[in-house]
Amino acid sequence: MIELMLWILAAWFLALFAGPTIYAAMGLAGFAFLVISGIPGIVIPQKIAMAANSFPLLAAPLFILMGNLMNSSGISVRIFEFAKSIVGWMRGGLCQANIVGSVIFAGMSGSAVADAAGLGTVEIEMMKKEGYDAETAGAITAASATIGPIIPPSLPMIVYGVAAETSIGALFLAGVIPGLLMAVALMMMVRYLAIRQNMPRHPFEGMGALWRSFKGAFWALMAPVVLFGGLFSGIFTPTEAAAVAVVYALALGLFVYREFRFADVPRIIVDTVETSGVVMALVMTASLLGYCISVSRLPQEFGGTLTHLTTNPIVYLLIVNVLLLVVGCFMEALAAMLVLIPILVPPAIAMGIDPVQFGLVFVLNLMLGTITPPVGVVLYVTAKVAGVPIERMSRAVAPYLIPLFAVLMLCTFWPPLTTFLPKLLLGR
Amino acid sequence: MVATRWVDRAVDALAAAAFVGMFGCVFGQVIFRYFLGSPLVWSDELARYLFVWASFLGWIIAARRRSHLSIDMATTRMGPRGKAVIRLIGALAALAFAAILVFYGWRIMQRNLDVETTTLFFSMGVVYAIVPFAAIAVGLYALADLRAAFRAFAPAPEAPA
Repeated sequence: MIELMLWILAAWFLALFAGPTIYAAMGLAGFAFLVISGIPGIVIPQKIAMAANSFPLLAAPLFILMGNLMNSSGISVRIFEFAKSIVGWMRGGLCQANIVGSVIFAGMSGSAVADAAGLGTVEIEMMKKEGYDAETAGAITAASATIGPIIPPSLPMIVYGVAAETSIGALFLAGVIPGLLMAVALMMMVRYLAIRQNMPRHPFEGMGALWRSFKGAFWALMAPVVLFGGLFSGIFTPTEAAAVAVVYALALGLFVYREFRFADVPRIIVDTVETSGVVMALVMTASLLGYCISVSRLPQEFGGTLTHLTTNPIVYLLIVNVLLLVVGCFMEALAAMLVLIPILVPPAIAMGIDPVQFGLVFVLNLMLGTITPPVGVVLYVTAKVAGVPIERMSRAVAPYLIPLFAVLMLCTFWPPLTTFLPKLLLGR
Repeated sequence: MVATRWVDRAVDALAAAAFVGMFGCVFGQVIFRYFLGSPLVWSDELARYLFVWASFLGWIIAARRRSHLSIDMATTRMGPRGKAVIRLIGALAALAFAAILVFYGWRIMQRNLDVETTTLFFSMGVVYAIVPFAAIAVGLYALADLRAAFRAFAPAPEAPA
């Protein structure tokens, strides 16, 4: 059965390049496996429907709604204005502001694509207006959008936590330090590039402007406080925290910033159901394929082969890094994650790697995959927003891969970077 | 066309209702547990089933708006004929998967008609009913797609009648 599964996985991977939707290809791959190995097909609707029958996973659509509400409430402009008045005076100041803005936005949104399409649209437009070329603006937007799912809340972490049975709260906390490190590393790279490419710079606008932009963004800046206050004081589960955050975002948009009206809410909700439908179609069919993978005993075989190769956690993490970076180039992040979790996680646990550290390294790898060609969702979104051909965008984003890769290596070699905060606050 | 627009609207309304209901359960659970001091027994389970429904309804909406993810690196440079082939493959894959889900979804729904939920008044059959229903809807969109792909094959449109 292992051989059959390997053939099916290979066929599935190749078939994807003929352009069918990933979820349908995954479902058909699962069906093929079940038919050939004589397992009744009734498990198909059962696995698929029950994948959504999960309270922790319910946090995902709620965070998607929160992101949509935040994007419609005019918060992105305020956040970018605030970021601009903090770091805009540096050379390449709007690139720096782009990174700072992404960090702030990351605290209320959990998806890199949402960051790139929402905040990114505002950022790229303003940067073009200030004399930056479209590639520079698009590249830093794409690179900094990868911080979004590392700093909590995070859609990939929720899905990872559910699929790998790891605490979502701990995964969220584990992302805080690496997310901030990514920002610092990207800012250093911008500084280097800004001097070489002679990017524009503007004078400091003064403390008054800083204070005004801070006041403008204040309620937006409080969103993560509301979210994490409840989450990490143990009052709410991540799903409940997400629901509370949705109410906060709704109140902000309707009553404080008044950027949308009650009549707009149904449209925002239907858009949210659509986006969660896209995510859930992947999660549900991947859960079917994941079931088939475990039935085939591929994970055990892989684990057995692996222990002949190495029992050193660091070596294993490096192998996983290489594998995920390569897969991340050619596969959509969520689908890759869901298919590989049942295969890669058990050996990691057996070798004594902290599941939280492994989760973070896993997600970080796949986020790098979203900005590497040929298959990179974030790259495509920002190229579209900036109006730049994908080839030029790929070249412009390349220098930013270096600092992000450096952070990935730090997280790989030094576990406390990811495990310190969860241990401190959750006492695990 | 009027009929399809009516169906689209009904799906949107049902999707929004399921989502709002799901959100209401989670938020209500927080309010009742922490502020009113009497936890709800059924909110967790109902929220989960509404999530199942919302996921399938979202699947329909995403199929209609063609926003399901696919890997289109090979297709962006193709000519109209190549694109039609790709579209044909995509529609066939979606149709095949939908057909599988209609067939087995109907059976799992029937099998669960007398399986009771833990805290709610309806049976698991109601939860599973969304599977064949959504699959039929997605299958219909796939059929429309198939027709469009075939049309694109015809090199030049014949003179309109």
